[in-house]
Amino acid sequence: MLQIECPWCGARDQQEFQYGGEAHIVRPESPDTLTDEQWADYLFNRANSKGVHAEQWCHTAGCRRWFNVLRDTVSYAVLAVYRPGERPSGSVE
Amino acid sequence: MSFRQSPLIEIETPIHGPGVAAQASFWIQERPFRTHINLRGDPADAGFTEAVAHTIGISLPVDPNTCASKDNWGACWLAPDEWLLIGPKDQDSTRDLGQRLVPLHHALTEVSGGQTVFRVGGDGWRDVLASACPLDLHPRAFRAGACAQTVIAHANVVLIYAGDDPRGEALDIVVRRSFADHLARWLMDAAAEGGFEFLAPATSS
Repeated sequence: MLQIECPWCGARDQQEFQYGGEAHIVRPESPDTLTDEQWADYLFNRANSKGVHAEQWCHTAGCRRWFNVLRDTVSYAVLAVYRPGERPSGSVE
Repeated sequence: MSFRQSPLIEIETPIHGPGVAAQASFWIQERPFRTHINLRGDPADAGFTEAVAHTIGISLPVDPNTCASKDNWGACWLAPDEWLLIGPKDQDSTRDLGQRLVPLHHALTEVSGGQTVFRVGGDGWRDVLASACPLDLHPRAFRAGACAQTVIAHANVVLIYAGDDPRGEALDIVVRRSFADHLARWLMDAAAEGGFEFLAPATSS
């Protein structure tokens, strides 16, 4: 189990959270103008990175806020947590 | 006149559950029919916080996972813009608060019928809860003035430290009524080894 630091509630057990997929995926401004390939890329294609991964989590059994987590998909270490609209501090990209 | 029934109607209290050494290190008692209000609004809006303070005498706690109480009312932080207010039963406060908040941006939801409160205590309450609650219940982490939303045995709950109980250190567990029977039976099972007393429901307020 992971210990995840909710930006509001502090460190809590993973069972209080729900995973929300990769973070920082921006919906295209005008979907009408996209090709099928571009739309499918937005909908389905994810980085699936080995190593540092930015992802969304929701503290569903707590304050029910969404936030972002930088997690290492190899070691499962939680490297940083930050609120929506923020960028992680430090040099991790 | 409304007909109300506790969600624990099928558990006949009091129940005496002596532990292996015939002791009881845990007690549990329902506090039924209290007024529960879910309130959302902007804590930076002075009009909003003043309306609450004027109605129930509590300034809303803005620090995460803290609660405040006064005169049988309690206010728990649930989220940066959301609180749970719990007060005496059959109160007009919901209507009074609603009227004060009418001109302001807010959401006030009466949830009294959807949830109930268990008060638990005794020497072993932290150990009993720790057997299925992922929250750190150590006294250094969960102490007077604390509240927290978490899960116990898969049921979503709000835990509120109850510092005012004459029987000693105690905890209020707010649970959805559809999970109340499950949680009560689970707590009895978890407390069986150390012994427990399931007291008759609290009658006052």
